[in-house]
Amino acid sequence: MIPGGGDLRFDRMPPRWVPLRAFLAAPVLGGFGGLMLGIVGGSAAESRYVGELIGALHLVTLGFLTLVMVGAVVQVLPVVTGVPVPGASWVGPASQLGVAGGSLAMAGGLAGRWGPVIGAGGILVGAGLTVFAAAGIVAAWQARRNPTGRAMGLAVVSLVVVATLGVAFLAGHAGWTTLRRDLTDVHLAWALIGWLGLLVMGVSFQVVPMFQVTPQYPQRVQHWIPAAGFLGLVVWTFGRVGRWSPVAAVGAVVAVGAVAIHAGVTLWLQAHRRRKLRDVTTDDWRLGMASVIVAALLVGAAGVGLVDLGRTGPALALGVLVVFGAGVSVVEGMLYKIVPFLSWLHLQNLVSRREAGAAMRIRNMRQLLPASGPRRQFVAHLVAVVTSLVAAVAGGVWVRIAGFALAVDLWWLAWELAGVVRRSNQDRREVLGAS
Amino acid sequence: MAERVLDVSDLEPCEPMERSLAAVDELGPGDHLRILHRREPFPLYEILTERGFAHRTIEGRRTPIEILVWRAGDAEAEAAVADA
Repeated sequence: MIPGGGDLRFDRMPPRWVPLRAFLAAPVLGGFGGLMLGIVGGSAAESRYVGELIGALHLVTLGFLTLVMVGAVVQVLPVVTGVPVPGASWVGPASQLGVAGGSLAMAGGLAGRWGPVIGAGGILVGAGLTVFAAAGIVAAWQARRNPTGRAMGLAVVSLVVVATLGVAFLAGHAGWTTLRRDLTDVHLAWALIGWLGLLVMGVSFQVVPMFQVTPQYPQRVQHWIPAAGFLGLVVWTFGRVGRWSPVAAVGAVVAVGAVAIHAGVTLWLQAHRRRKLRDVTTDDWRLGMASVIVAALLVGAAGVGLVDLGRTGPALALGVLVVFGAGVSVVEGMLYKIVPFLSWLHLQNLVSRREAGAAMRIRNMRQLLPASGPRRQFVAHLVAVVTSLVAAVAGGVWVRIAGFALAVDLWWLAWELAGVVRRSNQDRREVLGAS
Repeated sequence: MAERVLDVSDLEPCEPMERSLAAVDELGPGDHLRILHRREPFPLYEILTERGFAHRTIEGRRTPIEILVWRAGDAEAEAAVADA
């Protein structure tokens, strides 16, 4: 291990199409979630249990966020720890197919109230995530000495809890079992703090210092904060299910405190960047971490009785802050670095392996992804987050506006990423043609 | 015979690798390049080897990592790097 550095092993990367395919398909799927909200309009936000809202939200959380996060684990875990995900070449595509197909089926089924389609969606998502989780847990266990590997392992264990409850809910919606709505908050907490929060932590330890040229995360943060977040969730769950309020409160403070501390440290590191060049990824991460802190304050306000998260408006606003404000922002920022970087790196390796191509000039990351497009797309993302927050509180026509804004946000992202792949494929053809 | 120094510690990917590859191409007989970096650039190693360069990574004084690069088979450069 190198002092102050990570342990990136790009020579152990899986084939480039394994993560790239998921990274390109994800925003397209997520955009359908926005379109669904735009079409359904205000009735989708009348309660957190409206089928269309659950379906649309899962196109974003499963179709967009989880699809990218599965690709990121398959890609990042072997690169940072040297431990390959077992069967990466088929585990990646199989789990991505299950998640993508399943999220589409469950969204359509929930919107149309078609029990068998909802059930089929649950089976597909469950199968895809089971394949991924089994391989991910084995790899994370082997990589447990690395802070990123440990955080990813805890995130994958959280995903197992989320998926188990989620599939049980879908079976309830399909009419196969009793629908246990009392466990909805447990599903949400493990999804947003466990799966999303812990994975973002693990990835951030590598990508924030590397791509945003910040100082390294303090060792204590890397070692203790993901573990504290996970432990807090376990304690909160026992308190919640066992109806022991003081225990649940302690667990909630620890879990929410862990993600808030990570967000604060990330903002501090960004404020100490060595080169303070304007960069859309840094803006995305700033928006994401600020959203986490506002969400944590909202939970804290609810804890002391200032806000009632049992009401639909504040509950939806909290969800918007965490899913759109934090999750979508961070993942968009990550994609804007990882997709051009992977494309460039594979091109660079190709050039080096071909004698005739060695003299050729390939595009660098900035040329593969010119900054102007992502900068304009970030404005569209800001509009989507703000209108979604207004929609959560005001409902009505704002739900329609927010839905369409979200579709524009994510499809614009897909367009920018497709441009990277198109340009790198042009260079690839030229290199191969020159050999 | 000379040491050239390249500080890429404040650059974001992919500039460190681009500048490093451009700099090694200009190494003459007996020359070596000292790259000052904030983290170990694993992808660079494979590309350097394929392009006919040897390298040695040491703990840095000004930056966390220093990578010494020379043309493989250049005995004079290799001897200079051994003393570095």
